[in-house]
Amino acid sequence: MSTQGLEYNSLRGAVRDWRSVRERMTTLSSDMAGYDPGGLPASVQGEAQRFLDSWSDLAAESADLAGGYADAVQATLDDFTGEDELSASEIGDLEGSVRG
Amino acid sequence: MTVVIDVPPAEPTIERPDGEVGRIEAFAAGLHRASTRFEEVADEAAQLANLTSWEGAAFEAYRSAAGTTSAEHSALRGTIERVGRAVSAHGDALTDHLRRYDDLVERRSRLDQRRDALIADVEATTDATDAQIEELRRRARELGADYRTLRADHDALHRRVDADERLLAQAFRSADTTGEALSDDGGTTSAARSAMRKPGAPGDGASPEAVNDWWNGLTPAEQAAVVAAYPGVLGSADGLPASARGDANRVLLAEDLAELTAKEQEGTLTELEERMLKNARETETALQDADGYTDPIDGHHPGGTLWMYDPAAFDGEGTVALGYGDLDTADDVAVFTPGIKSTMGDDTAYYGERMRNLYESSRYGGDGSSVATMFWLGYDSPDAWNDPATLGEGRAAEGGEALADDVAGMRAARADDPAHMTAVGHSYGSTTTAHAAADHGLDVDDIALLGSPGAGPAETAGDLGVGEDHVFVGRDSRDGVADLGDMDSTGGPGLGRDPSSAGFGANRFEAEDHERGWHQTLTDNHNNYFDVDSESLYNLGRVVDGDHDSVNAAPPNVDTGVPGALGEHDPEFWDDDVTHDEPGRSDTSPDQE
Repeated sequence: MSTQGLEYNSLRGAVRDWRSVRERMTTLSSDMAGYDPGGLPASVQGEAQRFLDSWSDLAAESADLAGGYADAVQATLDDFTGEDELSASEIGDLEGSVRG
Repeated sequence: MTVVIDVPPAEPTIERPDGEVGRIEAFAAGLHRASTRFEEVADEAAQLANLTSWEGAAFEAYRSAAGTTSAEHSALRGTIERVGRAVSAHGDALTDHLRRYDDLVERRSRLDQRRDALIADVEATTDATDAQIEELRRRARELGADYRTLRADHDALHRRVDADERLLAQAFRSADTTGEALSDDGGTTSAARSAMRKPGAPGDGASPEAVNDWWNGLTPAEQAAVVAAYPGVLGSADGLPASARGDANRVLLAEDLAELTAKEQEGTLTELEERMLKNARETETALQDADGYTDPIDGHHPGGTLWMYDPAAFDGEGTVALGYGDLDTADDVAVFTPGIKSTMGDDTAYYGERMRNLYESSRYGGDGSSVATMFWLGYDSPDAWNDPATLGEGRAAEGGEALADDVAGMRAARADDPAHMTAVGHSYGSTTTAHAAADHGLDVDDIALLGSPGAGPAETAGDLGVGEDHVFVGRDSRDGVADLGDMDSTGGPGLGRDPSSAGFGANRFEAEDHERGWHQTLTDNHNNYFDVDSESLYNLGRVVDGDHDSVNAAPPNVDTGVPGALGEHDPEFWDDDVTHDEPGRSDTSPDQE
């Protein structure tokens, strides 16, 4: 038999942390795109620029990934919250009394 | 009659190696900062993968994915860090290349002056005699030979520059696809990988001698590649030339400064990292001092060598060894071990300055031999006077073994060109040095113990294994720490026999402070042995220079046989001929104008 369950505040914290990661990696992606290889020898500047472009993209993908986690955890929270409210409503309708 | 003098052409045009060191260092620092970002993601993903408050199939899927994210970002961190190291190494190499470029420019200028003078003399000569003609031709031949040597050196420099640039380009190329970035050896050049697979490579139990053979069997390009790719392995590899270890440790230092400074700015430093950053900054200061030093004897720049660098050792107290001069070629090499309260973060620059003083004293008034002096803090020195470790020899025994191992490593790096080596120990470091010598066969030619609280396991100078004629002792009569050593008949509270005592049999030299008072102290008179223009520094310089005949002897401490404070009589206490800056006694450096 499987077990299900969650603690809201903990997951909200996870959402917040993933969003923070997304912001930082977005900034890094932007920073790396702006790194200046101009002080390197001319013979390696082309390779350096390709490297920077590639890693700026990697950082952006990392940011997207973090954002994806944040969204997924948030969706889980929303689903549980929605289901919980629906169930609460249905159970509340029963009124718990046999006097109908 | 027309006489032809073949004046050689002025050549070559000296080409400057391409690149700007400051901007390269900034670029490397950016990559190191970026590596901390990927590390953060790896750490946070690992933490966020283990939410204990969520259960079920969705959580299992989430946990699996976040675990993958953590592992991948850990790999990304490693790759970008390796590329950052390659860039740092290139900046260090370019610094050396530019120094050689400046030398070539200067040499070319001097040759051109000789050429101009020759042309002027040729043009001014009329009715030349055969002797005059031959003299002009001789000058032209010699000038031509010197130009050819210059060209050869210039070509060699640029072959090395080209190889370094190819290496750096390869480092970038080896990490510019997602697959390479995620691989375990992304950012590592093929030259480095193949070199590390050769027999004798460090890091896999190879002996110092085997490591030395391995290094000498690599091409210059391979050597540069392994320094850039494996600085953590090479920086502590016994048997490697000091310059190779130094290059590797500079890469590690640059990396630490960049990454830890970034964390400091974000407020995410751990306590250990705080100590590591302090250690790194102190080391950077000391290294800059050494790099900027000019030998006052001949005006050359001996340069600094970061022979050992581990800012995390001993829970952040750190281990470090920093040298002045060329440890690979110097005729005379001194290794200095400090005493208690010595830490990497507080004392590296302080002791670096003292190594500069010792270097200068050894050179000034010396026999013209080349010199290198190194501060070695490769052990966990006791923290304070009231540290229980100060009262025992445990740390000295452990440190002595480490010191002997490291000196053996230095020896292995110069098996075909052994230096005259002197081990110098101060305070608790003298006890450490004595343990290295008496217990572990410290492979040096001479030993000097300063302000010693006791010679540990050595009952006599002969026990130190270098011959009692090669054991020297400096003791200021007002040094309260040096007063702690045991006397022959009455014992004492120290860490073994007083090496300045008559019974020990060492060569005590003059080491009085010209500003001494009437009382012994545990500070000023204990810490003045490397003061400029002091008796002690003068005599240490002679020992390091191997000029024992010029060491000014002092009478040994005398055992009175009376227990307690009257147990010894130090003739130097009553010496009224203490000198300062006196030639042949205490003049250790050219006086400043």
